[in-house]
Amino acid sequence: MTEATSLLREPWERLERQRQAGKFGIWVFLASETLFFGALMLTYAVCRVEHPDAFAAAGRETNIWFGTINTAILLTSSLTMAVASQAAAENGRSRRLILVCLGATAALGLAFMIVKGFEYKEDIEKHLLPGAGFALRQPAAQLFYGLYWLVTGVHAIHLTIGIVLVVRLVLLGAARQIRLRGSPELEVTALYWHLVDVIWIFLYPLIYLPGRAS
Amino acid sequence: MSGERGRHQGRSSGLWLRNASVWAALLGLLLLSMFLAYVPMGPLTVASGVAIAVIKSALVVVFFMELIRARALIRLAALAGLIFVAVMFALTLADVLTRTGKI
Repeated sequence: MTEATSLLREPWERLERQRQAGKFGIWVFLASETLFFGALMLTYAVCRVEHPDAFAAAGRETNIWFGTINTAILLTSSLTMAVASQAAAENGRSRRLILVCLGATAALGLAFMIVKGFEYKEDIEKHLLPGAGFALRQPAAQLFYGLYWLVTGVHAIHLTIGIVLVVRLVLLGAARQIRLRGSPELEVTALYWHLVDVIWIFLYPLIYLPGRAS
Repeated sequence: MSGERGRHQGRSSGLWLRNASVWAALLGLLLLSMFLAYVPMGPLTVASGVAIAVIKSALVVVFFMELIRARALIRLAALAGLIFVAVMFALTLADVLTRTGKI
């Protein structure tokens, strides 16, 4: 079995067509994801325009260190994912390099989730869950934290899906069940991973940076 | 054999070098946005955070997601998402930012 036929799936007759279709499909999906998170960020923007002081007070309560460390972790995971994906696309790259980079990507994703878990624990202890007993006196600060829990929660779900997809590739690749070199599946997974990173890049200034200068 | 290995390592370091330089720029921008958040600049403080996020995401999309090497069809698909988000923001904020009273 040649390299091309082992990667080829129905209904495609040629690997190049399959690769282009997969890539186009994931980009259309990513465009829809951009709209989904875009709508949440727009809701945030409208609320912030209406309640600038409450949003500044609420933003000050977030833990900037957790947020910054997590951003650095996700940016680094994008580096390892980019190296894995580009190594898989080029001829003659070692399979080991691809596997190690994919493993590092999944581990960094997991590290993000662990840091986020500590952050959520601190948020709950500081009574930053909207509802009765909320810590801040401005009512609109609850809007900030309503959006905070929703957006970071949905992002965490996306990241969890990403971790599962990457771990799947590592396990199948290590067991030689799939060929990672030239794999369209790896390419598509990498694009998804980077988008989850891009979404976090925008969430960082919206969640962690308001109200620091005042 | 050793020549082949040397060439392999040389290409490997090239792969890491070009991606690590993008990563270093991303981390630098992250620290810059954190620093600027503490500088009182009025509305520019918010703008600086969002502007840096735009630059960082552009770096990820162009270099890590390899949009720079993608076909026109892929670029169009990516652009479609951006255009519709831009329309959504423009139409909504055109209303919200020009209201005189509270919602």
